Amino acid sequence: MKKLLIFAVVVAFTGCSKTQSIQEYYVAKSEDPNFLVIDIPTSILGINNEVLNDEEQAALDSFQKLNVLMFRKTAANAEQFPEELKIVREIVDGEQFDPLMVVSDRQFSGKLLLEGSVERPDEIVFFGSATNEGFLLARLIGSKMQVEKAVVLAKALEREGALDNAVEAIGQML
Amino acid sequence: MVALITASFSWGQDVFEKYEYDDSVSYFSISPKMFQMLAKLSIETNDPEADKFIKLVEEIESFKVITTESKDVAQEIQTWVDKHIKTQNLDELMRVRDKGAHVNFYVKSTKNDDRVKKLLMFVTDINEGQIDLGDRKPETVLLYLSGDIDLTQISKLVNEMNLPGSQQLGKLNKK
Repeated sequence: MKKLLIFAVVVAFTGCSKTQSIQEYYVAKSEDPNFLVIDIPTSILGINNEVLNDEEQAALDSFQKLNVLMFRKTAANAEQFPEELKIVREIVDGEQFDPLMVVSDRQFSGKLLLEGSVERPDEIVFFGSATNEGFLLARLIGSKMQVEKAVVLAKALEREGALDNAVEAIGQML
Repeated sequence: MVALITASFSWGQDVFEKYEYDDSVSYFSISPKMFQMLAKLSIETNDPEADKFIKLVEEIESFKVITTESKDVAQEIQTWVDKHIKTQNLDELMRVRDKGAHVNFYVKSTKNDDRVKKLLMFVTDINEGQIDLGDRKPETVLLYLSGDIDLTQISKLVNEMNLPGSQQLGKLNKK
């Protein structure tokens, strides 16, 4: 009964309005000076293919990139903030994503979402906003990501000093 | 005013999601998918207490907490709880008064006395003078759990959150 109801709601929504996709939003905002959009490929980790075993390599390959979009609220763009916030909320609360976790406390709210199956998601999204600061949208994009290997992968990355490589590379980008 | 709010409050709507972006509300939820994912990560520890806790977490399907400092929102939560108990046929597990606060526990029972499918913990009339919550003055706390829940273990989780009523729930262990 509940599933039927959700289905009806989804159909009703998709039937009468087409929400902008998260990808369209990223593309649209990459030209807007109020936004900071960064695309971080996993190659930034500086991992040589030869140092990983097959399991680690397969896990790493299932993750492709991290896309970050930031809106920093200033006196000059304060008016734009509620509009943008509304659009992003509509996108993340839309049918494309399933919520994993939600934290909301007074001025702050944070949300972790997933696209695809729990076993093999294609995208994991974090959306955080603070009334006085702005918001941040981070997308971890992959292809059937091996989330259960996250612990194995994290150990391998630590062993190879991947975090240091990434910090250095991001530092150069900015 | 209250009648108007109550009337406009559509039947069956989830009170948690309704207020998720409201500044007068604090909200925390973990969805069934998150619990499925956590179970996949198969975290291992060498601590038997921590293992028990992980086992408990794996039995939970959905976890939600909402607290508010607004009297109007507190009233709506009360209305939702009253309706939900009726429509879902929840049983009152117990009713306690702890440090001036009223704590009601409702459950969806199973044939096993120690296991429930749903647990609803509703705290009202929180007396700030007797419970130190920093600069927060919550009117109401509502905690909602579903899954295959072991009541004898759940009090530990409630205890972790330092909410009133957890000690009473803990006493269930000793019956």
